[in-house]
Amino acid sequence: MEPVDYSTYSLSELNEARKQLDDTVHPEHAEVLDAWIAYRQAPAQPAPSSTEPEQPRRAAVRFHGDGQEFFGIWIVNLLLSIVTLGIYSAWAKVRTNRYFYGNLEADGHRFSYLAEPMQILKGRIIGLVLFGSYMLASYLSPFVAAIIMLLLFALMPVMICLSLRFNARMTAYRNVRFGFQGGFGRAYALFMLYPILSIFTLYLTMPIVLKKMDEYIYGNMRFGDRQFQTNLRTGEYYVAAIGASIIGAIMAVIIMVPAGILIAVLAGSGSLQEPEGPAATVFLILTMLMYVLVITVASCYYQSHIRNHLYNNSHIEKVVKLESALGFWALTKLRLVNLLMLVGSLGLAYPWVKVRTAALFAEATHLQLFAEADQVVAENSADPNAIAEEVSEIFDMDIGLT
Amino acid sequence: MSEMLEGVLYAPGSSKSCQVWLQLEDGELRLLVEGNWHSYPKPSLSSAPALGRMPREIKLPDGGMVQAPPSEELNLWLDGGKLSARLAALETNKWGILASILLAPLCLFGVFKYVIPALAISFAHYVPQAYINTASEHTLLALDESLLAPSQLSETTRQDYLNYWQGTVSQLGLSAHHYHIQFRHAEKLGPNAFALPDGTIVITDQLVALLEQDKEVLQAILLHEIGHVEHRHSMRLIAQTLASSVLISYLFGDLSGMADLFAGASTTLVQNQFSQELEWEADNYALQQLDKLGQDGESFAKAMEKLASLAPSSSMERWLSSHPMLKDRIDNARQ
Repeated sequence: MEPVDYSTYSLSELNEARKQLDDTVHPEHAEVLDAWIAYRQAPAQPAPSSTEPEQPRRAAVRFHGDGQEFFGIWIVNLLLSIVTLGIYSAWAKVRTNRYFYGNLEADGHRFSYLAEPMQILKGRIIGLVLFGSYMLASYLSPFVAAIIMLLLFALMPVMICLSLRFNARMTAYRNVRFGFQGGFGRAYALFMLYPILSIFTLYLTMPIVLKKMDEYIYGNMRFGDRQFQTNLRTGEYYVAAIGASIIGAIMAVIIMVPAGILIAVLAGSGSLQEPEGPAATVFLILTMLMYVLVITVASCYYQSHIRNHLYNNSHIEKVVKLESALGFWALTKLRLVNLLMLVGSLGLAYPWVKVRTAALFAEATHLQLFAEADQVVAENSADPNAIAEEVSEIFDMDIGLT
Repeated sequence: MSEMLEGVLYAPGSSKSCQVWLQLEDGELRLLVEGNWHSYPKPSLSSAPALGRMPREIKLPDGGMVQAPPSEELNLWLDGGKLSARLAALETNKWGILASILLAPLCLFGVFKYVIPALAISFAHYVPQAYINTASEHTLLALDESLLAPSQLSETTRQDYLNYWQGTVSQLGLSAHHYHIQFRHAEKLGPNAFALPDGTIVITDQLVALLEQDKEVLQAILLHEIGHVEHRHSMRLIAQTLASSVLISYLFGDLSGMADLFAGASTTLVQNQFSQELEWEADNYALQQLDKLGQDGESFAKAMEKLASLAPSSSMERWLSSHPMLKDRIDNARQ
């Protein structure tokens, strides 16, 4: 008799199967079935808790990755991906994600990334075929290109939704998978309708839209059979957006005034007139650097503020409360040093940059665990495929998660 | 009998976990859970290849999972001689890493410089002519609707050029019906000539004016455009753009934020280099054909000089432009 996967059985189905099973012939199956019935019954039993509010246990989140170790992984996977003309990149992606999930530890348990390279490869091939036909078709006629663009635009919310579903299902903690159950209809409202409407308010309502997006993404997350709950405040999104704009504006002024004087002096001496001259090139590079600097600092303010607000107001009832204390200055310093490292090493410092970033985010995070953290039951649903995820990646339709 | 390893057992279907002892036997894994031994045949287990110093995760057939600290013994027992495991072992091998540091940039260069262009050439030959014809018609239609207007040159001037061109084409043994010239007035484009992949060549009135009716110079430009058609450059450019942008996104796709910006910039640089390569090929085609006609490259150099007089260039353009620098092209023609 073949081993049966009872994980898809409901309690009543399990009981039925148990009744029909002959113990003497298949004792090993009886054992497995009994165990499954015990698990399925567990949540139904009354918890042995008292009426007092229970005290949560606070646990740190740690990242165990190491820059040097990841450098080896990264460079070898890069070489293998190049010599296989990108085919191995599916394996490389899985190994990189496994490294960053598997080295993330909370309360003594590691996260896992469960996608199989073949899933990613299939998604990538379909993405490539679609992208190739899009390019050929758009060359064939601007009219066809416009239709395809519209079609892609129309499908974007579905892609985002399916990508969220895939990525959540491929993440596990304590052998229990995450899940995402946001619907397509809501995705259309959030990722298409509201952003378009906010244009007519001169983007003044954009923070509300961003808040609703976060509510959709995180409020629809599940860990096993438990649902995440968020309690976000619109005001915080305005604080973050306005704060980031003010920081950006102040920095722009501080930088622009000396730059303006510099231009005036250079223009006076005539060295900017000559397009081949080094002054013009240096000036162009400096302008780009300043732009990157302003954007980095302003986005760090937004990101740290929103991440803290989001984590500090998300929880799974009786299981976990998230905590985040990501400092604006700590994040800014990290991003600026990352930038210097990348530019200075011509990109070779990339593995260290990724590890440093993951370590800082982990360090800023804590969990408050409640009694039922041990009692989360895995939910079973069909394995999603990676097609939407890979297609949206190749067409650059990904959304950034904080 | 081997030593016992300590690990964590995650129960199937729930977040419960407990301590477990592992014993690795030939062909089976034995687990000691709360005083009871369970055994699992090796083929029923699955585990992704070792990765750094991360704990090993072993999936049990009942949906449970055992996590154990990595050790050489466990890695060997789980991975054996599987290909994926041997490739993964390079990641921790000093020589594997050193070789990758040297070979990765070299291979990357080789792929972009030789492999992708070669693939693009063979791809271009598989594109059916019907597709090329339709694409050309639609492109010209769209341009006529937007950037181009009917030519304002007199009928006799146009006929004059066409006759001259017929002479050139028959002298070079090219099929006359394949290459037909269209004159257009183009305020926004300015002096320009371009070939559509089906052989239609569009010349703007502005170019005719710029060249001051010098037919030899115009002929040099037209031969350059024919070079693009003969070598199926538009199809090759599509294939190269597709291949390089997809490869860059797959190799460096997990870069985020500012690093993404650099990846975007490198895609542009790579594509400009491709495009410049094709321009050189068309230039040299034109020079060869001029040679066949018994002319030197002077008329081509003159054409480039005319264009150079329109826009000053800077050294940054070597990287940011889709065409090679005019100065270099003039030097090439005069060689």
